[in-house]
Amino acid sequence: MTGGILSNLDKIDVLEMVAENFQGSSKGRLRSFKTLGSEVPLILHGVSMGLASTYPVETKRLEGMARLMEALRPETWSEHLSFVRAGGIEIGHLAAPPRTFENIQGSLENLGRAARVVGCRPALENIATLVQPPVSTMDEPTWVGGILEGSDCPFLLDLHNLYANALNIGEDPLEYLERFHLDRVQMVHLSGGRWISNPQAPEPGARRWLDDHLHDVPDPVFKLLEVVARRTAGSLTIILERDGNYPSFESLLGQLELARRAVQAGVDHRNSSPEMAGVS
Amino acid sequence: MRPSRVEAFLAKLYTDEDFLGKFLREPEILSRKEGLTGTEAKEMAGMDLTGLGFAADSFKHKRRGRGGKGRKRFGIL
Repeated sequence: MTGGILSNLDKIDVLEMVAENFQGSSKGRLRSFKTLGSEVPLILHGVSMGLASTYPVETKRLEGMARLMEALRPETWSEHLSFVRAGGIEIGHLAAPPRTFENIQGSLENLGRAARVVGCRPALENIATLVQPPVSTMDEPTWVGGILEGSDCPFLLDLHNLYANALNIGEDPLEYLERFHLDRVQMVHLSGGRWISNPQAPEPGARRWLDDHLHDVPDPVFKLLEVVARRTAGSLTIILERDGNYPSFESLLGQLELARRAVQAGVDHRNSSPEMAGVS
Repeated sequence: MRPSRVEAFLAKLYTDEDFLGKFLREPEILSRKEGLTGTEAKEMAGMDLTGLGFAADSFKHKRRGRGGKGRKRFGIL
């Protein structure tokens, strides 16, 4: 994979790196990635801070991100709108917290602390969830919107997470998309997934769409990307995520090409629309 | 900001199989025992239990080491 990336930098405009994979790296390794950053812009992506929580984010994690920002000089950094620990328990992955005003308040406090320690605000990513968080007082778009409005952070919209959540609550993904703050989107994640089922589930025949990053981007997600490009006037950074079950590198580049076409189709539609072009 | 008892309760549900089993048998009683309010306990009892099972399985799978490590990403535009 690394070889494929390095030999195709003319087709890749940005690299996103999971920050936790670089914590504790040697100075030499960090130097080599900083050098890579002189050829292609880097983005650091955190997966373990747990910013969307009523529990305070751990200072050591923020300081670790600050050190990486200093060492690698990426364009920016991003994190998830999730909690990953509470009450002294590590969940081990991204979990959706109860969507409440108290959670929004806690998230904003954590984001303020993050900005002070790291030096800049992160882009915030919506997560996929297989379970609707109980004791919530608002839906996902309202909750995400509340944090975006209160924090002034850019929105990293993961379209496959949105697609999965829409399917899992029985909503049309395109209609669900329209309920998010698309005007705040600066980055987009694309990935794939699959249906999973559980014969022992209380609900017979129940299935859920799992965001597994092991499959190609489904066609409806490219359609969602086209809509985002149509609705977003500013620049967009699109990241393709893949964690395993790797196809050929040409196939991955092919998905990037599909993403480029979807964005172009959205931009063309916006430019041809009298309303969007300011002509009545 | 007072930390949410519900977040701590969910973290335990997602990581402790015995606790999850007890919850599935007596959700409201266990929720109250763990300090949730009556309203919170009722909402916990009415939660999406099918989704809870999927989520707990997924978190267990992630903790066993798949995902999170060696993730490679690249972008365009």
